[in-house]
This record gives sequence, C-alpha cells and structure tokens, in this order.
Amino acid sequence: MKNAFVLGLAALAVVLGAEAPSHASDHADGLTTTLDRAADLTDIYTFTSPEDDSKLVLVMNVTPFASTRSRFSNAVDYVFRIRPIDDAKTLKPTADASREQKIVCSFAGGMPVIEPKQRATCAFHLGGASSESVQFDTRSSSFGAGGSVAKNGVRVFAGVRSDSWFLDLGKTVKFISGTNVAKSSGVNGLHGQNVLSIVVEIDKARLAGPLLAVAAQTVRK
Amino acid sequence: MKTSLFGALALVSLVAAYGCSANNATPPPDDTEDQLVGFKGNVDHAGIVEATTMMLVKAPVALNLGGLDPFNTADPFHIEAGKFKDTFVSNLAKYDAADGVVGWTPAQTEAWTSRMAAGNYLVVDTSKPCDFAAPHTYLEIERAGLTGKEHQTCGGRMPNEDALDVTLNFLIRGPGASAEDDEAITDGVDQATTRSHATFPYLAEANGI
Repeated sequence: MKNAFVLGLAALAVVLGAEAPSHASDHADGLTTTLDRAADLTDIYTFTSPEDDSKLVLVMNVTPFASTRSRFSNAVDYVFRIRPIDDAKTLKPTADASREQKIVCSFAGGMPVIEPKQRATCAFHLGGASSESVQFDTRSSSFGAGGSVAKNGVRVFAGVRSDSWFLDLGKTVKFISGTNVAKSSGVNGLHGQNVLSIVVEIDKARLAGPLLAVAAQTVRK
Repeated sequence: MKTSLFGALALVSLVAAYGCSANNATPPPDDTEDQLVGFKGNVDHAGIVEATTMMLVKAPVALNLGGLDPFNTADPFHIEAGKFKDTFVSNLAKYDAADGVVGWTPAQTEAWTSRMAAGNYLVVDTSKPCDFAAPHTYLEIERAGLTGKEHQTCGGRMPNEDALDVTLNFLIRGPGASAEDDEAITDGVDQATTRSHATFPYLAEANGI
C-alpha cells in the first residue's frame, strides 16, 4: 500500500509539474528512471583531459531538470565501470569480471530543499585487493553549486552543472517515427536546464587500457 | 491497490508522451530520491547515446516506458541479448529505410545489433588523439570497425560533440556516413545551453546561479 501511494505521489508530481522529455539521450528513458530522477543517468562522457593528456576524464550526469539546490541520493551508488578490450577487431570488453575497474561515488548528509551540501566519497577499485578513496563536500566557494578534491593525481568534482545534452525534441520524435526531416534550424529542448554531474580525472597509466569499454551505472543500495 | 498503482504508471507514461512533442520542458519538483524507498538494485546505465530512447524503444514510447526498464536494470557488460536483439534489428531497419537508401549491410546490421543487445558502453582508446576544441570522435571507433578501417581517434565521447547528429547519420545513412558532409542529417541544434570548457570540471556552470 505504501509503495503504491509513494508511486502515485511521484506520478502526480510529474503530472502537475512537468513534461517529462523522453527521447533525450538517456533522460527519463524508462518508467523507473522517470520516477527515480536521482538515479536517472542522462549522459556519460569519456575523453583525454584537455589540460593534461596523460589523464582520462570520466563524466556521468544524472537527475534531469536539477535545480541549483539539488542533491545526489544518499541511497544510490554512482558507478563508473571500466573493462579492457583485448581485441580491437571485435571491440568486445573482457568477460572476465575480475579485470573490471570501478569508481564508486556515494553521498551522505544534506537535506532535501534545505541543505544541498553533502559529503561525497569516491572509492577507486583499480585492481588488486586494495582500493583508495577521496572525500569532499559537494558545495564549495570554488563553484556555484559544486565541490571538488584533488589527491594523488586524481581530481573529482560533484555538483550541479548546465545540462550538456542538446537536441530538438520535436524533430527527434519525427526521426524516431521513421520520418526523415529536412534541414532547418532547431530549438534546444533542454535549454537552461541543469543536471547533477560527477567528473573524475585519473592517470591513464592506472587504467587497464589503452582500449577500454566505459559505462556508468546507478545502483540503489 | 493495484488499480491505483497502474493508474499512476499510466499517467506518467501519458505525460511522457506530451513531453515528446514539446520543445521546452518544465522542471518537475525537486528531489525525488526518497520516493522509491524500498527499491534496491540496478536502476539505470549509460553508454551509447539514444540506446534506449531511439534504438530500443517501441513507438509510441509513452505507452512502453516500462518496457525499457529490463534493459536499464541489466548489467551493461552482460545484457541478456536474446531479450532485446529483435527490437534493435527492427528499429535499425526502420531508421535505415527513412531516407530511401540502404546504408547498412546485413553483416553490419548483425554486428551492431548484437553488440547493442549484449552491452551498453562507450569505447575509448586512450592512446589516440582527442581534440576537445573540435570534437569528432563519438562512435568513430565503432564506425571504423564496422567498415573495416583502423580507427584514428580516441573515440569515447566529448560533451561539445553533436552526438545526436552523429547518431542520426549512423542509424539512417549507415556506419560509413559522416555527420559533417553535405548530405548530413541534423536536428538543427548544434550546441548546449553553454558550451563545455577546457578546464576542470569541463562542464559549464549551472544555470540560475
């Protein structure tokens, strides 16, 4: 009964306050993620750092339509998963789970609406039995709505950023229906929106690359 | 109880349908994190852009949002391919037919749909160049593999690249097509609200600060 009530409230909240834009990268791409925005992954990026080419950057965005006071869920693990690809022809990641490297970020503290600052912990499981972790606050004076840490060659940021995804929603719907659309200017349906972002920068030498498969995952604890 | 639950779910799906046709979305109330108390386990994964919202969805999406949950909650490195392969194949055939030109060979279709049905991840080569200022690397490794070429870039994905245009050209025109040539398909939007920048943490400052 409680679960049905809670889901009903969530549905009502969406109905009253929103138009949930599916068809947007990975935004609200399922019933559960539409309801569970804190665990709704919207995008993942990975690229060589433009500041230091010896480092790889990993980015995951969650929580579409975040406000500047949005928080990560304290009940969710936000995970970067990295597996080596041994064969450049098949591009298949290794099936050997023991070779997987993970970066797991979790959050504590804060309070909905009242206190956006949380304590972030990101644990680096990069091989072997040992792991290391960094901790930092998700609000600091260095950012409008975020916090970061730099330690042992690793940098991590967590906080609110401008949504980096862009598309014309109306045209995308037409493309999805199988209609080819003539070229014309479009309107970014996510203009002015924010997301919660986790950005990790790490030495490439610590990864099992150079050819890697990278995924982001959210897991409710 | 079941009635109210299904009513709520249907309502959410219908709202999602309206969202599909809107060009500007209105934010819902903040902080839903505690609304699913009691649910544990995998919620979502991300890798290839539009893996679910274009490649796996069965139209109309609003009536099938729940159908995407089994994919989202799967292990992104170990998805049970048999559950999703047929949908990836039928959707790719739909996109390939959109411009009236066959862009995918049967072998390419088999390779791509098998890969998507089994896993959802980006491929990055840390030994190859990424040009953050002029990003044209998204799917380059996969497209090279499908067309029998050696990849030249880091692949992966950078935030300022127009990944939707890359996806549209990939699906509709085939893995050999560029998103940059004269025939390229586009949605007409080529950047986010604010472009990402070349200093940590790279993504642009939040709006409304």
